[in-house]
Amino acid sequence: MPMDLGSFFKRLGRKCGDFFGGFARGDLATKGSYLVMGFGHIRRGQAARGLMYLLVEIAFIAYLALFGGQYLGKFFYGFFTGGSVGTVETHDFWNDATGVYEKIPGDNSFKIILYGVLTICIIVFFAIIYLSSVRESRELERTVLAGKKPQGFRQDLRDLGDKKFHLTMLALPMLGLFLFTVVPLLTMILIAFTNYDASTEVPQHLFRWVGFANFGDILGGNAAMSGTFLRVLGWTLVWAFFATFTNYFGGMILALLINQKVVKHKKLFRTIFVATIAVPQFVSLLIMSKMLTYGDSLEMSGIIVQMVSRIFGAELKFGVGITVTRVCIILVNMWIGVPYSMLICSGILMNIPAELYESSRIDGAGPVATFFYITLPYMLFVTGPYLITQFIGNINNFNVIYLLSGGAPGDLLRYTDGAKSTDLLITWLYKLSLGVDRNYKLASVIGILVFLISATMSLLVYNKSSAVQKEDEFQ
Amino acid sequence: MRKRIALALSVLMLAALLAACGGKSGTQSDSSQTAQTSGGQSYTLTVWCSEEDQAMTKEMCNAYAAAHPENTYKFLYGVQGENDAADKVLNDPESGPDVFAFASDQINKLIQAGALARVGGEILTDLQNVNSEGSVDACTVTIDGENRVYAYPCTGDNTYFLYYDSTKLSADDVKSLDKMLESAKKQDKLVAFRLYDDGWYLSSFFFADPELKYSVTYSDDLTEKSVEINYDNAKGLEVMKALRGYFASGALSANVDDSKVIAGVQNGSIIAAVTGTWMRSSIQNVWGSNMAVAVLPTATIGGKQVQLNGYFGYKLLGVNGYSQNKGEAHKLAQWLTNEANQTKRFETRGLGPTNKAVMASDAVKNDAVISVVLQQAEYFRTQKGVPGSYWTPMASLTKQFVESEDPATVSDATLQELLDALCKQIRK
Repeated sequence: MPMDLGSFFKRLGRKCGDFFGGFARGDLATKGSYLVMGFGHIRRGQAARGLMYLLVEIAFIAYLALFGGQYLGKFFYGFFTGGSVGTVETHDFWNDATGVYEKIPGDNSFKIILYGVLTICIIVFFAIIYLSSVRESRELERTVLAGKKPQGFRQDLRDLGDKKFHLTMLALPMLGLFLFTVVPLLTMILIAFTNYDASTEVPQHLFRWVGFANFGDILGGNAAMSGTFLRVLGWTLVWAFFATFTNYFGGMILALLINQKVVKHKKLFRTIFVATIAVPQFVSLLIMSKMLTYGDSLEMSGIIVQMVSRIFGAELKFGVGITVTRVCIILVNMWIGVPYSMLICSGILMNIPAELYESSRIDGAGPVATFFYITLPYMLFVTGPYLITQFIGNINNFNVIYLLSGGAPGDLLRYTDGAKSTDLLITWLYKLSLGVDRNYKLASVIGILVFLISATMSLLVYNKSSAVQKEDEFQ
Repeated sequence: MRKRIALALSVLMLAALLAACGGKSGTQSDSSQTAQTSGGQSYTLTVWCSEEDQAMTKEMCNAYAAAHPENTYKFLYGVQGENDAADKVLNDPESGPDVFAFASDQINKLIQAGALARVGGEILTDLQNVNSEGSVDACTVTIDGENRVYAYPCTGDNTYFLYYDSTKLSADDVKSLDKMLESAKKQDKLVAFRLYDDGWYLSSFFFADPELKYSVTYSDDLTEKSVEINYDNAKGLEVMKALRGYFASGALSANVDDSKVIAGVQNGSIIAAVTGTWMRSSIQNVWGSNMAVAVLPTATIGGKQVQLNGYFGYKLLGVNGYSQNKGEAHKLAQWLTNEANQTKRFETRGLGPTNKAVMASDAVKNDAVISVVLQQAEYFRTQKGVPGSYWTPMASLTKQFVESEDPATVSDATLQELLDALCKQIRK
């Protein structure tokens, strides 16, 4: 349950009171453990535990002194002066002895940010450990005063395998999550507030903090760029909508058809459709993109373009015409995605109680009414959250776009900064960060905006979805 | 028991995460010298070059090791095409290769990122003496008002010219694009010239008019300070009008890439193609002795016949600025681009040399393709100092021609609008 602000501050106040009051009231051992972690533990018979706390404190100080401190200093120096991240540039000099130009390495802005973030996180962790050690020390004082014997180290260890097993279990995954997700994520977010791109490439150059300038550019400050952003965003949303719902309803209709009593060899049909899943998606996409190639003569075109030309006498200008490319991409995506949603829908359809259908038939409902009043609401209820994840997944559906059209066709009059007319935000981001400009700063801004858009939409739609609203009614 | 399993699983998960981070792939080791000679040094050098160059490069490196018996060398090879070598190196220059091949137009961004070691001393003097002026120029940049050399010229043939089937087109036909298209049209065939989706080829039309140009002012660290381009003037419009006419001719195949050109040559729908040396063997396989080559044709722009004029680029070898063995890496790069190895490169793969002695040899002069390339090198523009923002907008400049049913219907106003948008995106 979310805490309201008032009670949060009340709790904070109480904690502060405990912390400082504990110091004032505590005896020498407790007071000492405010300065030397584990002091109280060692004095009161928890030597092993106390030593571990002491070790943590020593390790932390050593880390700051030997490694983290310098990065932290450089990180904040630039941050508060609005200057470059790090101050020493890399130089070349001629070494007569070796006959080559050598490099004198300077500061690496990226590493400063990365290790700065890491150090800040470690400080936060340390603070948590410190506070808990101090709290334990105060509790220990009370325990001893009450004449009880403090818990021994063996018992502590036993607890880790028993009462506190969740801590043991989660320690490693949490460490992994922290190192491989949280720290890189925070670093990447910070890049959005710098001018990191090809011209400030590390480690040769330093980049600097620019505040919200990049956000300003993309949200209106730079008319061409923000126009491009809005166009790409528009197509991303249109694409996500169609990709999600064509697949969803396509799969549902297919599942319903196969579920019909008159259909024989149901398993065979399902297997045939599901077999397409066995082919890796990127293989089928690349083949599709070959088959859709539009060339100047039929012989140079892909098989689908040839067939369309022979049968309908029309040119399928895939990768040249904007609308035709967009429609083709959505259709190909259906071909790839419908079997998945058919699989999911089949399972759910079989779970709809048959009595519902029977009673509706008795009441004289036709197949259409049955679909709209029983099947669809039931499906939406069960698959609402799935639809949301699909929609978000499609906003970030890199594979389909990148492998099918690569964003083509370009359109000089509407798009700038390397974006093309079928680019999604995510493929644009990819081109920005790995393209000519290596525009990491802009890529990071777009990444953040995509997250904000996805998060807002998910929350809004999820709270409005029947799965949440009618949680109790529908069973 | 269950707890143990859970614990084991969580450890496994972390191990998997860690394993995913480690491991370096893509390079194969090939230890050439095993006998350790006393007193010598031991070096490990990583060399990146294209798939096609691998075998040849291995031979050259082994020969280098054999020529320096006092040291022990271990060479690691990575497969990396020159066209996007810079991007791959820039992903992490500090752990990149010691010596790598790249296309000359990438030199600026490599220098900017500190990924190229500057050449100096005797090696530099030698480099400047033996190589052609244009190729040395491609390795040279001006920083702080001083000309500095950052790479070794390797091959000089990164350009495009005309291949044609001499049974379908005469040597006279291919002198002018108008005639060539007319003749192809009569035969219901196509001339492939990638004027859509690729600014590299398209530039040849703008370069035909020496007054149409761009210029970049660089700051001392090679950042583009300002970019000026004048394609949006009246002369640029003439070029667009000429292009419109050629697109409408019905015999120009502009929406092609290498694979489409090969497909078209194989099934006979293409009888002439503007492309580069890398397509030589594929085309020769089909046309055989009927394959002929020629310099780019003339085209009618603004009512006058003008010579099309394209980009001339070089393949360079660079020493990584972060290499641990810079001294040896420089020597190896010099070795790989010396006279003997440029001759070898020409003989094995038909690649154009930059070494003046090799260029002057009879074998090179008598080679139909390379002689056309070198002939064009006289007047083509060296691919250097191109604005970074140039390629993407140029690639879609002719989209309207390909998209519309009849390119002739694209209005002059639209052409001007396209040129304006182009220049606006390139200018800085």
